[in-house]
Amino acid sequence: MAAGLYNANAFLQLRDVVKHYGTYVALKGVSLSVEKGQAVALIGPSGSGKSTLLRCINTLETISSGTIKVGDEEIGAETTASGRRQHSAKVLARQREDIGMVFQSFNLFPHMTALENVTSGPRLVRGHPASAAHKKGMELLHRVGLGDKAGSFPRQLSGGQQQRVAIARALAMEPKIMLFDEPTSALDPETVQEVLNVIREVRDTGMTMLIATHEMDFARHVSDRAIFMEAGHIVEQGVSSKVLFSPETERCRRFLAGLTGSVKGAAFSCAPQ
Amino acid sequence: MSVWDWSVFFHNLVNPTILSGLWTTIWLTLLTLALAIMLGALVALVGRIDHLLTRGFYQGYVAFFRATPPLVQLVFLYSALPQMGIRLSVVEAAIIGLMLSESPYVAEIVRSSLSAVPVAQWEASKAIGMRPVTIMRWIIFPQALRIAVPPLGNEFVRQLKNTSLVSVISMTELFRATDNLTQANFRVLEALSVATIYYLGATTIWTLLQNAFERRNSRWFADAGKVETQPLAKTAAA
Ligand SMILES: Nc1ncnc2c1ncn2[C@@H]1O[C@H](COP(=O)(O)OP(=O)(O)O)[C@@H](O)[C@H]1O
Ligand SMILES: [Mg+2]
Repeated sequence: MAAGLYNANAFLQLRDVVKHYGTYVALKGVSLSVEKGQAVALIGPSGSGKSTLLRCINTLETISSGTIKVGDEEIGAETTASGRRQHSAKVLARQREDIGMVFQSFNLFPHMTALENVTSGPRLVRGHPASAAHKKGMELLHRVGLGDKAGSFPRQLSGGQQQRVAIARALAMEPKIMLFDEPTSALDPETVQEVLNVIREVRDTGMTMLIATHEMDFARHVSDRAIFMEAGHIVEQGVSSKVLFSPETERCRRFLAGLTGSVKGAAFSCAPQ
Repeated sequence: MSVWDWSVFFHNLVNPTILSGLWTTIWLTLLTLALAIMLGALVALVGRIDHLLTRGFYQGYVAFFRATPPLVQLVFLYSALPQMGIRLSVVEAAIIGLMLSESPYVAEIVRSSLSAVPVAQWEASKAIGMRPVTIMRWIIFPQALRIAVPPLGNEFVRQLKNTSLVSVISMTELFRATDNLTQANFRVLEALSVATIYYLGATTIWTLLQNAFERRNSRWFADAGKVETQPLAKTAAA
């Protein structure tokens, strides 16, 4: 399957990644690679393993077998001749600094203002002084269009605003790659667009990214490549224009048809859960 | 003897024995509650370690100290321990006894407050690259504290009332001071009324402080009873 897509020069590389939850196998041997500066859309029905895949990449989940590499570094564990050895909490934390993650449900820190959320990484992880972190945090908030909301707490912000703060919070760590897990699926339709615009701007800076999404129009516009998953497998992957417009596999075709059929006409509309 | 004598009442209100008893009650409450919070938090943290022994220790500790009456614990410390060669002064026995009897309640509050902070908060912090100790200190603890304050406030009230038990091992706190006074003049009604007013006053001041703390954090803290203004988790994690 997907022969030739394994790329030794890729920035992010997954090889035969398997993830078990108890006896349930959520990822059944996933191999993929993302080159530096590429944006890759991850699509597929609910339960196909998109979140699991992203969570494994930044080691929120421990994979059962396989390897994940970012740059030259193996993520989460060390594979030696004698087998796999899990990295210590300290090493995991350092590796996650380079891998930004944006969650479906934002997960902002509710006891911190928007600015404090954004500066939490630089201050609490990097130990930057307050003034420097503050300056950079304000720049980021302006970049996501929330310069005037610096002092607001998450519960005083709309869903779209919260998600933009969450993106700024992840960017504050200057990650080498960004993972988005259905960043607009929990949003009201009218705020979806503002978040997609921010993601598009991040993409335009040349950020390497992997985006799980049901927003097909968005995926078509913003991604270089697309990966279609189903039941823990990659069924099809390739350039977006191919996978998202005229897929080779019947399953991917049917999935896309189902989406456009049910939400016809609405730009960037949410897929039904 | 008249039913109610105002002059006795006002004398009692400023009686040095009663005031010093009040002071003892206050510091004993604050000190033993603070100690119980430290001990209870420690026990709760041990209980969070995912191991059969630590979980067993936690369950046993909480069960034991909750199942035995604080009065029995106090008398045990003061009167039974000497038989085993451990002699505690009245004050030592009072402090240790009140701390121990309160600690399981604090442990339960700490445990449930920590686990009431959503797992997603851990994940979001980890994703930024924070280490476990940093996450606990800066992300989980402040949120758990806000959750814990109302129930811990109730524990202050419980502890304030429980200090009266140490009168049995002859420590002169508010109740025993009041009682001593009635031995002298037999005006029980006026004496106990004064004690009641002081207990009520201490509880009221505490409640006001607690309310101020809760208001200070109300900008970010959504009460469980209040409706969320934001569609925080419209979709169940797919
Ligand atoms: N913590 C977990 N424990 C058990 N099963 C899980 C867990 N997380 C996800 N799964 C299962 O793994 C499968 C893939 O889930 P997920 O990665 O969330 O899919 P997607 O994001 O594509 O909707 C689903 O069947 C889901 O029920
Ligand atoms: Mg998902």
